[in-house]
Amino acid sequence: MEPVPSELKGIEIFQRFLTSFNLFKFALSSFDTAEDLMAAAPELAKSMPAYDVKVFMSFKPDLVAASFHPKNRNVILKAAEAQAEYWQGVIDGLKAGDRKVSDFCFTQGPELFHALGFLPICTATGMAAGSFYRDGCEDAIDLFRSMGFADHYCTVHAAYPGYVLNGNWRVPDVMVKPAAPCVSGNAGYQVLSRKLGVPLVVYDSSYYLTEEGVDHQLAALKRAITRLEKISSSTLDEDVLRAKVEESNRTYALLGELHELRKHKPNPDPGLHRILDILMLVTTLGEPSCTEYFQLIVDEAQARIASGERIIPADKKELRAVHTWAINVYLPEVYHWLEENLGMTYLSCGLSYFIDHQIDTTSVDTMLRGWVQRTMNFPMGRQSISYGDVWVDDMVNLAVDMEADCGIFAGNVACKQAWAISKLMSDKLEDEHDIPSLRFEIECCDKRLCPADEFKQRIESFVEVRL
Amino acid sequence: MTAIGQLIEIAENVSNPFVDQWKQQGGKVVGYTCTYVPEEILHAAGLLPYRLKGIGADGTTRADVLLPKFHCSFSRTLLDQALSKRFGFLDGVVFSTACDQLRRMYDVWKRRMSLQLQTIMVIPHSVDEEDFEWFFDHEVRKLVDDLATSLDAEITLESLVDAIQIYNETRALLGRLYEARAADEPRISGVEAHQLVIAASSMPKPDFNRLLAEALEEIAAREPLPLNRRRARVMVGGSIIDSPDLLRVIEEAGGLVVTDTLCTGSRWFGDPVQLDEPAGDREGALRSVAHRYYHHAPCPRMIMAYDRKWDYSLQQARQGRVDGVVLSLITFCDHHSADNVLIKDDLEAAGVPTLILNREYAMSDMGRFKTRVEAFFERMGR
Amino acid sequence: MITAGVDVGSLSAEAVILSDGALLAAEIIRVRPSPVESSSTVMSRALEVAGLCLDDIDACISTGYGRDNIPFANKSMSEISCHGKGAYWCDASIRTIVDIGGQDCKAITVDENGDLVDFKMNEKCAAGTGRFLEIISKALGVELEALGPLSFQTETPLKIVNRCSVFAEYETLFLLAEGKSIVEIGAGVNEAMAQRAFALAHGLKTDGGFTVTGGVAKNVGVIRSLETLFETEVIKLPVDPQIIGALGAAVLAERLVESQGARE
Repeated sequence: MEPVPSELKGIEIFQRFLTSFNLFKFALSSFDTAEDLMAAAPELAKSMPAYDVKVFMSFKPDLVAASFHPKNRNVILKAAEAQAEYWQGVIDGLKAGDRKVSDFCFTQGPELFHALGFLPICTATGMAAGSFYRDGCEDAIDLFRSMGFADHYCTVHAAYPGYVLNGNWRVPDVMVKPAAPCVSGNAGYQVLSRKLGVPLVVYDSSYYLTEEGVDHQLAALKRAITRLEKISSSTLDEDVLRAKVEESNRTYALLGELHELRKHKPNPDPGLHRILDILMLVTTLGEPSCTEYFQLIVDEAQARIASGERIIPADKKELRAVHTWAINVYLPEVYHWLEENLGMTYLSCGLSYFIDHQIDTTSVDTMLRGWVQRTMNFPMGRQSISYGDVWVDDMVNLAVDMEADCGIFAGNVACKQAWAISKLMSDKLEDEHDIPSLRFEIECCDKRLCPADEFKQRIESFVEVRL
Repeated sequence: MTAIGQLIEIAENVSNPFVDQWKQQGGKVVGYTCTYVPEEILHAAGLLPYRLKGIGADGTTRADVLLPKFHCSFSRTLLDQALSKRFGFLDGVVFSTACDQLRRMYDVWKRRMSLQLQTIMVIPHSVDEEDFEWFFDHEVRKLVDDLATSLDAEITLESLVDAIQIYNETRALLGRLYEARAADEPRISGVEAHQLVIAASSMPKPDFNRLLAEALEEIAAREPLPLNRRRARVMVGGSIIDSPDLLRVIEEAGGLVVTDTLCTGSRWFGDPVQLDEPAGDREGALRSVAHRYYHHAPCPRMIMAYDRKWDYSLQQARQGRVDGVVLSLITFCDHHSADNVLIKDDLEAAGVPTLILNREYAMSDMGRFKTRVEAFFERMGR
Repeated sequence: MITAGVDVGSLSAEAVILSDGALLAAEIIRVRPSPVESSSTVMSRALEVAGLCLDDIDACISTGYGRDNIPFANKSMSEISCHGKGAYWCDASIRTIVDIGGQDCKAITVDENGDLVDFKMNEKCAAGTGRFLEIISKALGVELEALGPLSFQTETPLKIVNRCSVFAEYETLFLLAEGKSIVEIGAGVNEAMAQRAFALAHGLKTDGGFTVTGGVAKNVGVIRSLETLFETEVIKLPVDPQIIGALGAAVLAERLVESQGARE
């Protein structure tokens, strides 16, 4: 892995993200098309700082091109604005040093950690490197693996320790995670805890997705909060929590709306921004910028329904696809490619299937309870930690409810435990609902297992033969 | 046949005459997969607990249809055993959620098999006392109810106290076995010792206790192993081992496996159940049993308990006065992939040479392993 | 003191004879059906070249896949120890050896006496071995020996993304079909090979001299990439890399003689 220059020690990846989003902001607000941007690029490069040029050159060209498409650009720009603000805030916060830093695993909302007085950073944001850059985050993953750890660990959770160990990501004051989603996701945290002495707070995730299960997980969370308060040296601030949760309630309501809108035929919501959806939720949830982002997506989808504007070319028949758990992080632009080339729209997937749960803000207890319930039901966390039936039924229900034409189950190899039920799922879809599916292996942050061309080729063949 | 011989024969076969006899007498057998499942409860319910094993499997072709290739070969083997009817003597199974691979295999198992009792115990991810309370209140009570409902099996205070006594006796005897194998002049090989432990989880404990007591006398009467079979004292750890192939490779290279941190070895039988004298009521006895199981030497999946896991490894290595440690890893075993590396680094720092070997559940190409083990011994100057 | 080492692999067998620390003979043959036959044949050849007979040998160590039950060997030792010792004998500054053979890949570290400190072996597949280069050179229509120099003919090697050699082969054919240059593809393949070896050895590498042995050591492109990745020069050994195991065995046999002498 490239050594980190001293001025970027502990913040390199955050600075990289900040610069990236600033560049996207600039590009999308200054140019109409990707071609215009590329034409102006050589001249622009002369006046840009060398670091910015370097980051720009590291972007995936297909991703940049797809971002300019009229159906995508506004949402991408909106995300870039919000993300630029967020990462600037992270860097400023780290430099100010007035708050302890909690790195938290996703499936959790950041609201709680703000209320506990932390500067919270989600460990899954490392995967953004996998999405934007040609070289992805394989360098961080390889560093982790070179310590001797198995290459079948979840690469989302392998990139994070790689960045921390190499100095791209500041060593936090604490790492927090629920036991979900799985064992493969847990290894990296234990490693950092042992090797760098970082306190690791893990609280149990309920196997039972019931009220009793919520009770159990809530009790475990409360014990975790006691530990966290000692580390942040501040007690849970009810007002901060309430403010954040009221905002996140607004966001979640929009997520619920969006899910309904995607059921429309044709699906009015393009797929390019889905990785940014997750990124926004794990960074800015509880901020107005997150709500505004999803509001824009909802507005655009509604406008398309009203006007009849499609997200696929006029000459293409819509092929409605439900995907499975790993959005292949390294290929967000492929959903745009699927729309343009195959008329395949992205209905939902194991990582964008959000259940709108409104948190009761009456008291700390009700808020924590609601927060726990969201964590329990967070896409992928919910399906991973519980019985196989949950996964099978969730995906089948999604496919049926949203009138999918097919299931595209590009499965994360690291989710080896999930693969056990993938055949049960695709058999049930086919046998009971006549919905064919394609199952093949990817590794969500490591493109070497299934490069872009192969990914596209597999889906193309499937479409040709089965649909 | 000697007691050792009988026990080894039991360990080498998926079923055995004791299981046959149990069944013939109308008894029921309940399989389990994990050291967190409280066996005394099964025993007290009049059932024969049987630890599911891959012994005698002939591959995984039936399981491969249902489970993907990148699912650990141990769990695939167990499913294959069930589908091939080699577990035909089972009346029930109790799985646990401690291992992701096994818990997902259970999702498939329960659709394909239809034993009278098929259940899974949820094991919390922490060793907090409050999570123990939940485990006891929820999962242990549920197990007791399930046994009554599905297998007509009732548990009384007396049967529990009796079970605890018998199992503590088993633990004490196995403790003596481990002392014998780690003696300065050992008279039993690691392969044999391991097989004796495996036999314990395949048969009624009273019979096992009797046979092991005899076996211990037989061992004491033997000559010490010659020096060329004690080139290096080794501790074995890592992924599950129920067939002694790896130990055989180590011992054919001249080493001697004197102890382990295996969940099919010391972690399975260590830590007795602490019961109040006199025993209070059934509730209290159940709680004592559950407490022992919840807090026994932890499984790698308890990621917040690394210190305990590490202390245990070091303690076992020191007690065994080992020259080196061999940690094996079954492909796709998530738990041990994490722990092995950390434990190895810490052992090396503590002056205990450690080797990590990757394997499948069913070992093949022994020459490859022998090379690595020999190189490891050479590295230690042994 | 005259010692010998014999290395019986799955494809070839080597024998080396040392006399008071000097290399007298080194022979390589293709293996015979039985390891005993292979070792006897290659040993006879070496003895002939050295002008000696078996009785002149004070001690012999066998190593390699077929090392057990060699009648004239006093002891067998792993090829890992022998490889380490052999490389050290060539250059005592060496502490890390990466051996990339046709069928496996190992990383070995030795101490200041050439004794084994640690090792790591490629477990999984062809991807980290010489077999990978064989497959790709065939796909490119280039002789294996000509693959290495391609790295020096371009500044822009193509990235080979696939980790698996089977898929990498497809990827190569795909790139060729797209009209990409053989030079750039070949250079990319060399780099990919080096990266696999780097991934294996990276965590193990220690300060001190670094060398590469095995058939792939003859690929100058891989060597250059390894030098870049490890940020260190690869020490070129003065002997055929294929005899390193047998050489190390002969060196280790010297110690055997010394310790037996001490006992007497």
